[in-house]
Amino acid sequence: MNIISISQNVSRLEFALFDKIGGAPLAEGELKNWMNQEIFKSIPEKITLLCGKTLRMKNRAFSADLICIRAPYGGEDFKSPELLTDKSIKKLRKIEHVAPMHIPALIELINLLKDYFRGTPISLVFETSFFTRLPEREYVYAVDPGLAGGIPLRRFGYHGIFHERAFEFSHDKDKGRSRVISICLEPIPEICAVKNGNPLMVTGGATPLEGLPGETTCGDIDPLIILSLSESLGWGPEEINKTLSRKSGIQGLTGKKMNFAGLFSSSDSNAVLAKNLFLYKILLATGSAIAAMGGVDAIVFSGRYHDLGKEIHTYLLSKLDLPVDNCEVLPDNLLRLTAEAGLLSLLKNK
Amino acid sequence: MKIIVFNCGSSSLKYRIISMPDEKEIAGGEAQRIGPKTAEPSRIIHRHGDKTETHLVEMRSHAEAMAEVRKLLSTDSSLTPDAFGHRVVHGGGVFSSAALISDESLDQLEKIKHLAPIHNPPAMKIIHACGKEYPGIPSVAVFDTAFHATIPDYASTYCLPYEISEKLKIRKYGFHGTSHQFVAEEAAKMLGKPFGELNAVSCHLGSGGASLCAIVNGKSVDNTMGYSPLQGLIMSTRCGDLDPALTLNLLQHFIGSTADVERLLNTRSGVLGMSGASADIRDIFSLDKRDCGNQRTSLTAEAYLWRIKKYIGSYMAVVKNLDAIIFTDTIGELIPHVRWAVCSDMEYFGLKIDSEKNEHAESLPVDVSQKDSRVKILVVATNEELAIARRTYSLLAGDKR
Repeated sequence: MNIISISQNVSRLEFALFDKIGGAPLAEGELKNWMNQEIFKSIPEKITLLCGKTLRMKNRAFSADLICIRAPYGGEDFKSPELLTDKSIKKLRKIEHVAPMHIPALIELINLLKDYFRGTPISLVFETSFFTRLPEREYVYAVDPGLAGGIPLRRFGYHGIFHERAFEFSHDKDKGRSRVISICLEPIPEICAVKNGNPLMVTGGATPLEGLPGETTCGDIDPLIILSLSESLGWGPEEINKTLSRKSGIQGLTGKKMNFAGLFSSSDSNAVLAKNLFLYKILLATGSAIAAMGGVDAIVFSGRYHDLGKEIHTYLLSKLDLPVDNCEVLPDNLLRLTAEAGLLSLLKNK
Repeated sequence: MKIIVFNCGSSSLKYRIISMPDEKEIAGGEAQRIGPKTAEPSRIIHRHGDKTETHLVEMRSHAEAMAEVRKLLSTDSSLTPDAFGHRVVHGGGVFSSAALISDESLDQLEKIKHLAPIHNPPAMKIIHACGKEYPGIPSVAVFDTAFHATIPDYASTYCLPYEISEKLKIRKYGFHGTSHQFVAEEAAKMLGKPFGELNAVSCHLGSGGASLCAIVNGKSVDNTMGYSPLQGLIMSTRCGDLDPALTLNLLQHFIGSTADVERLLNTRSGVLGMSGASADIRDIFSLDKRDCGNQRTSLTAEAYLWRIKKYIGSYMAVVKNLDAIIFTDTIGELIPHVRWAVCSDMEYFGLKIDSEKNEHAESLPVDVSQKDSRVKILVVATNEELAIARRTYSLLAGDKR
């Protein structure tokens, strides 16, 4: 079975080919600036070429059995992965204005792949689906919706695919683990408290800017800071957004482009402060997650920097009375989890 | 020395005339529910000797409240002060301890007033009014931020480009320090511990502003408020934590008007914005209790408590060998339901609240934890005015020496 798994990001499109669930990808690739018109048009051919080459087929001989697209935002109407139908597109059109950076691009991508891979089922897997089960007390912001000019005031969280799988992964090992803290170590990291399979608390917000600081994102800040930046520096919302999302976080503190792996191995004094700060934010969020669930049975680290989980767990153990042994690492990457979730939705449909 | 202390909250003006150094209160009172209309009318509760009077007066601003208080104080010549002590919320990076008011310090205060737009300006109006009405009588400013000067860099730094934070002095300052320190000192006395060895989480839950403080060895190590008093818990009219992108969206919506966004987030959000019914969380609890609320009021009550509980969890993770969690100020002292909701199901952290003791916590200070609770749950009346009088007296007595 040929499963193409695609992950949509603002500036990058990642894809991989799988032939079975649980195995390593047969091929992987990525396209930067994929929304550029010329690059965009070439997406299906590039995927076909790579997959065909990997499977030693002539280009046109390659055919996919399933395409799974992971998208960051699906709003409240996509509660689980679903097979693409005309209804799915209608639902996406309804939320275009809410996520203008993601949804219009996703619709275009879907149409492109649908045309090229005619007849191949497409499964949509959204990061936000898991968070449609977030309790209202957790997702609401204390702003009057009537005065906010129609801006959607709802926390979502952005690594739902990781968190959902992290809980299942831990719970499958021991059914007694009903309260799991999922620590997703991606470039924009996120912590989620999952009780009985449902999210109770998450650090991410209405957008990935809120929460833990990322490699270039600011994380939690006092709202008044934004107004001070505007008043003191004369910056408009776009300039501020660029600074908060691309020049802050670890990069802002160290003055260097640095990923989390580099941060944890650096002895530079600014990097040491950034690492201490990051660990401290994880401690705060862990305490909050424990309060949300009334305790904790297990911790699961995931994401591309899951290897850092061991050091972070040691740090947390020095501060908190945590389960020493119930600490797991979910090594799967996002494309594989997307393929798994997509395949499940296909099987359910059949 | 008779010191009149003015304590400007975001929706209240407390005043006390305290004789120092014997710490005897001669008179005092509180102008309540200043600002947006709430379910109950604005009023001044004035105490002098054994008498307590309630004056119902409309007070749309702190300036109007100050004028009404001055009328009450001018009725008795024995209330003429020797000094004034003022609670000033934000000392910026300039004031890390109490300061004598002078032209220079007023200039510095003027420069940082934007950091606490609903607190510093009314406090400054009152400082100016005292200078004008009582020339020659010294005024001392006591800052809420001073106690938090010990917050470590990893907790006070925002993840912004370093040079911008340096240039604009952006960092977590923390607030309600005078109150957090006062109740923590009282808690240390209750527990028979030197203050310098106390490990606690202090919950200052006012009817206007609210914040939590993590205290290790008698020093503040974190506070839920941040660069300004806007961050953190859901407050009367303040939003507390908000996704930065939402603030940016609001800035776009209001066509770049920072004043409009600031007004929305500081004065029309929080309990008022969520419920649409009242800025006072007591009104919301009361509506829900009487089944007179609606979906919005129920959600407001739930989200208000949830945010406090999550932050308590955060700070309990930060403070090792915790001695106590302390509840204070109007909501923290008077509303048992709040203490019960945020301390329940927290055995992991060593908290066990006693429902009976909690319901009848009228004579303060009191311990409302169960006997076998590893961490004590204390309800302590804050007295920011006494703390301010102590610092004012100490600074002025030092000057004289």
